[in-house]
Amino acid sequence: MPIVSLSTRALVEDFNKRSSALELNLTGSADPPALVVGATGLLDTDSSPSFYVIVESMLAEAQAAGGLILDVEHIRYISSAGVGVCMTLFVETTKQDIPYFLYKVPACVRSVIGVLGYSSYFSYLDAYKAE
Amino acid sequence: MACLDLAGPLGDELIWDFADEERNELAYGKLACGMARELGASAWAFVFADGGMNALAVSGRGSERADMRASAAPPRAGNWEGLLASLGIECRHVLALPLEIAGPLPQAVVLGRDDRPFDEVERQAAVALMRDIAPVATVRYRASRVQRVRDEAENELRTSEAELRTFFEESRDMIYTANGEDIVASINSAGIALLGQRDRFDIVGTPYSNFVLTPSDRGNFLERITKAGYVTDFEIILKKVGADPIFCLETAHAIKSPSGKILQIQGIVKDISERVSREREMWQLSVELADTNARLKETQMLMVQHEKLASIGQLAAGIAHEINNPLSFIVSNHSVLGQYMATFERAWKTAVASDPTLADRIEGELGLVELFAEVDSILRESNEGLSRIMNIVKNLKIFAHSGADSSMGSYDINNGIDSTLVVARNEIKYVADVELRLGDVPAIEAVGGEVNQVFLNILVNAAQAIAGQNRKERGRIVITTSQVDETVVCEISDDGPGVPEELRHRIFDPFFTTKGVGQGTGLGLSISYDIIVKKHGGSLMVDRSQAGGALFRIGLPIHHPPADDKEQRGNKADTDAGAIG
Repeated sequence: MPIVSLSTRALVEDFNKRSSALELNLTGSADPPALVVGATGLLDTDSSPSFYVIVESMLAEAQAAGGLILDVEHIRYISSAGVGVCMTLFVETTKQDIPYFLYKVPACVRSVIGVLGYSSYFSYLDAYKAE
Repeated sequence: MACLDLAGPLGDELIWDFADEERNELAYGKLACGMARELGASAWAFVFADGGMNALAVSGRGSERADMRASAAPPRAGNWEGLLASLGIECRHVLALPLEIAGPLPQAVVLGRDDRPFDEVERQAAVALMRDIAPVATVRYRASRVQRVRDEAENELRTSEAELRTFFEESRDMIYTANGEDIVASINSAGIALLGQRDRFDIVGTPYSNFVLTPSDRGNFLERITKAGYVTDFEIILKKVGADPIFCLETAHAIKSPSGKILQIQGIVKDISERVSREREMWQLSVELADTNARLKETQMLMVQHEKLASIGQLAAGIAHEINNPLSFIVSNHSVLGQYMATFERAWKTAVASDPTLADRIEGELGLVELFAEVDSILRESNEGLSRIMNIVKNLKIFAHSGADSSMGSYDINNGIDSTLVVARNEIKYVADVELRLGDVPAIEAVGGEVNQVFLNILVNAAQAIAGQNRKERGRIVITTSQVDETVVCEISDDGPGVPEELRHRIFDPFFTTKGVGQGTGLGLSISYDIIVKKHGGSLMVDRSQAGGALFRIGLPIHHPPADDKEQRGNKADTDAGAIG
């Protein structure tokens, strides 16, 4: 697992305790080199703001790891606000030259991204080599 | 005076109707008038109090009814003559008969006549009559009361229903109900319009999920409403016939059976497409801004690199100039020194010719003949070295000319290649031979130093690519120049590893490099592209050479169009080069 600060881990643990709709977990990828943020549950209007805050706080660590992979395989529902978070992360990672991927995008997420017209912005990943 | 038909027996008229004052008056009048008729009274009155306890009366003589009169206070018991008098009915004898019905208001029938007083028999008959009438009147009064309450309730219900119907139908948001199986049971006009349907019955009876872009989202909604009994501001994307999907917020609650099973879902759905659209525009702007920032960063890097190259060019030109001055007097001195040596040798030979012993004596000790031969050789070698230094300095000056002056001028591409080869010689000479096939091409308008920089980038790349193969045999670089219409074309090909086809469209991108970390910035070819395509309106393409290596084809216009056309040409050239590259 890439080096993730203790404070970030504590943030994730705290997030998981407080959030009933969304659960996060951190892993690492060797190829492509990246920090993997896995999200399970609902990325809706309620959970999106705090989700963004926590992932944004990990960008420095993602940069050190070589990239950021957002594992959305287990997202069961996403609202426009949730897609907005993915887009904001796209903007931020572009600014900071951090490779950014969406991993295993389920149909329910893909359709909302598509309706909003953001499909072409993201790099999609179907596999990565876990660390 | 209103005329009421008070003749005839008491019948159904004796029904109070609290919603119909006229009917009440008819009932009161009929009762009092009937009593008067039965008991031989000439005048009659039905006295009652309204809700404010004001006394009211319906009165008359015979079957004629007088106007309704009102007094500020209820009639005082016993003063019934006075009451009739206040109603304009003067009678000498009065009989008052309270009507004891279970109502909230006191009521009485007052009868009067002048010819004789009411005797006990009449009074008892009247009381008996009132006693008989009272239950009927009570029942009818109550029935009327119940009817009135019912009518009022029904009216309120109708009003309330109409208001709800208006609210349901006129709402700008979609309002719907669905049964326990999530089948739509009712929907308002806004909902029909929102879904782009024409008829209510295209929706009613259909599963709600049929109208949702991602049916699993509805499953999520149902999961929540089953658990909590309500859902607030749940975002859902609905399919609209003949239009783009619409983003909506739904707030709903469930009506459940005692066992917790959902019987009905009642929901309000608000179209938030405009809001989402505005958010999209905002994201779009953010993305464009980030993109612009990235481009700015790239441009800044390119500019810095350009500046560095220009500085190096200036530095080279400066050094060449500085070397040139001492070199001139060294060459001059060297030439003079050669002449002096030749003079000295001639003098020696003359001296030897006049005194042969001198030759034996000194030649034997010093070996002057050999010394003269060696000095001659040294001078020739030094001369050659100095010539080469002069050539290098001259070419450095030519190569770096644009470092000091970046404006367009007459430029001989063949000379540019020659001078660039001198500068690149050290990179190339150990790994490859260069074959020049320079054609007879005209001078072009160009910033010579910058074009030379492009040649240098491509030649050094070729040499490094060949060196990277670690092969035994030397590589080969071929440079050709020719004129094609109004363009001078220079092709530089090598027999190195070449550029893989899948990378060819990227090699002119800033920071793209196949070299190892620290070996290349990835800016050389990007800057070359910038110089040839954007600055000179030319073309720069990469292809596979006949020898299997890389082939770079540089096209430069001989003349440049006026400034207005130039921009358009630049854009066109940019597109062309991008497509081929």
